[in-house]
Amino acid sequence: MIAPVNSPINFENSIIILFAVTMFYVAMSSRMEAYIKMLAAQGALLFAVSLQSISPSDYLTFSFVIFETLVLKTIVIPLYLMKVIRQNEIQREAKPSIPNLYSLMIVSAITAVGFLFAYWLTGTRQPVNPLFFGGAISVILAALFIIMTRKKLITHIIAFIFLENGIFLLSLSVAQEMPFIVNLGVMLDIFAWVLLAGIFVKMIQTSFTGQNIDSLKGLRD
Amino acid sequence: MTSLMIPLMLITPLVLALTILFIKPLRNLHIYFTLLYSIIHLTASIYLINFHEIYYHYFEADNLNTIFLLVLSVVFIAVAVYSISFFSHNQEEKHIERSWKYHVFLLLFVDSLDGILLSSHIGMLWVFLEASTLFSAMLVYYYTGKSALEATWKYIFICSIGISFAFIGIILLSIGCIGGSGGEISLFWSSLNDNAKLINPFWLKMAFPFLLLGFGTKMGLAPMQNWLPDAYAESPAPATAIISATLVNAAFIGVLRVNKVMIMAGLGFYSNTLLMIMGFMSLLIPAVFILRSKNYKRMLAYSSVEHMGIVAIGTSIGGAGLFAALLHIIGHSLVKAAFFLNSGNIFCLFHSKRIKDVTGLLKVSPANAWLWVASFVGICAFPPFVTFISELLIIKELLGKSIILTIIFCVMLTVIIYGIGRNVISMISGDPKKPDSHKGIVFPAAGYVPQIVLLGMAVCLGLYIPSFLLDMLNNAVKFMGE
Repeated sequence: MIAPVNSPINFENSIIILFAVTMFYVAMSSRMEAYIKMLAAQGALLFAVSLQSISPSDYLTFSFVIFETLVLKTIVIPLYLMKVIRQNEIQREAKPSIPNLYSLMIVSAITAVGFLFAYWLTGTRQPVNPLFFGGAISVILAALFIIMTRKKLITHIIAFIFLENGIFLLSLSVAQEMPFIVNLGVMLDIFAWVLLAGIFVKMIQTSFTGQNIDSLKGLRD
Repeated sequence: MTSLMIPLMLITPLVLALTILFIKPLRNLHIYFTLLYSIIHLTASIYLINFHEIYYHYFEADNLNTIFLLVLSVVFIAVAVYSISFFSHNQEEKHIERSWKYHVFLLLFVDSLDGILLSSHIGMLWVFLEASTLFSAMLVYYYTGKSALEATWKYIFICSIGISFAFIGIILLSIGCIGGSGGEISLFWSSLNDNAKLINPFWLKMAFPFLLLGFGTKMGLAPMQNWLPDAYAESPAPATAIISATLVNAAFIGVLRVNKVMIMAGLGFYSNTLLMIMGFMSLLIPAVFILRSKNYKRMLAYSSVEHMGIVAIGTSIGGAGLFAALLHIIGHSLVKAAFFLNSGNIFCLFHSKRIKDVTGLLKVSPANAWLWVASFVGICAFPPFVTFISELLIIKELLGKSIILTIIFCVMLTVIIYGIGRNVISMISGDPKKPDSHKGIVFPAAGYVPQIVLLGMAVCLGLYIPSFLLDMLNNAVKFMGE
């Protein structure tokens, strides 16, 4: 008789996998709207993970995180960025440093390495959930890769928010023991939002035509 | 025992900044507010040196941060005095009118630095580090314009990535604390130090590079130093002086505190090796770029990267090397602040930051020329400046570790000295290109005195280190577990 096996595919794990997969779509797309839709999708997925991870008895952290993921990450930030790209008629990413196909291959490799590393950690009996950890590491590394290979300033901001999302997932992995960390994660998001999107996108767009990182070469030796 | 000085230090600038916001038409009042707070700051620092006190567990004066507080106080007073001259003379009218904004953000920036220095919790330190980025960005953006915007953008973006790295480091550290054999360990520095051996070494090793990169970004350590030349070149001279002399120190205290946890955990070799690698990278980059530098403020920025590299190397050696690194931080802050304040006078005289445009400084303004030369002598660590003693000590300690590294260290320093020296000499010698354009530009005493005092202090420390400072340095080294 075959012994029953606990299936690793449950709701939470599926969400984490979907979360990591969003970066594949970002890697192979050049459309700004696609990036922003993925940002909203990540926000919604993080909301779902937060519901599972944070105990409602910790009322303050719970409400803080729900507001952060559902209101800010899923609705407000994507809507604002969508408005910015439409107002400034930014539809596509400028010619990226490497073709999208290669980007997709590299992001796939990054994701594989992230998850393999996380599962290796589980083998060494480290206190982490491999899917949480792997998903977070993959998204963080993929976001850094997007920052390095894309040229539009707005893409850099979007990729920075992807990076924040990865860090947020990482902070959720220790949420049970240290809710303080999650609050700090929320602060990081607010900081990024206020500073990057709120103030400087507008300024950069009014002062630098083309909105490419290439136009920021006035200061050099 | 709960202190009154710590809340006084942290709340006063908030109150003063808010007051300036409400009374901005009374233009000169903000100058006095900044001066008043700089005096309060010095008083509080001296008090905290003598009475190490705690405020609600989250803020604490100890043997390490009081040195940095004292340096901050001295540089802040110098900057507050110099700002009187800078914003009331030889500036465009629109910049004089907007100077209240500079004072608001200067007060808030110093407040955030106090928070970084006094935080007794790694998370709290990180929050204040974020705040310091926010406020200093507004100082960098003071002149508005396209160049200032570009510099501010790069500053914000690179520092944000750095702050994110530091946060990843904190998360990894907290995983290590949960996984430790001694149950849950809090993220207070005292708890981390006391329980360092119980923290899971795997996670501690994972966390350290992220924390080093994160804090190192703000410190200006290579390879995350890219923001520094742009931000320093575009911000007003007094803002550059305080950022270059104190923000990097505040970030350095983060590195020191994390390194202490590593040493306590028996992972000192690992952390010191990484510090040394970053230190040497921070010497290599300025050695390359300083020779190509066309802008004197950018040149000084690369010099800051170099000095942070020296400090990182000294710290990685430990013991007497750490003592020398702390002494070097003091010397560098005094001399670099004077150098940048003087760059403000030079900009007023020549209306250019390009080295090529500045010639004949000795004929145009002998006082500024001599201050410029003295700052050069100090920053290149020639005697009798205190930087000479600290660099000599670091070289001596490094020699005990490796002759090859010492040779590399000395070669890079020589290249940097040559690069700066060549530019400084070309700026002070020769004839001015437009002799008439400098006429009528005079500086009040506040435009000279701060630099003279700062350089004078750096010379005095080079000749004689007072016993109270010697005790502070020795206690700091002991505090670090060396």
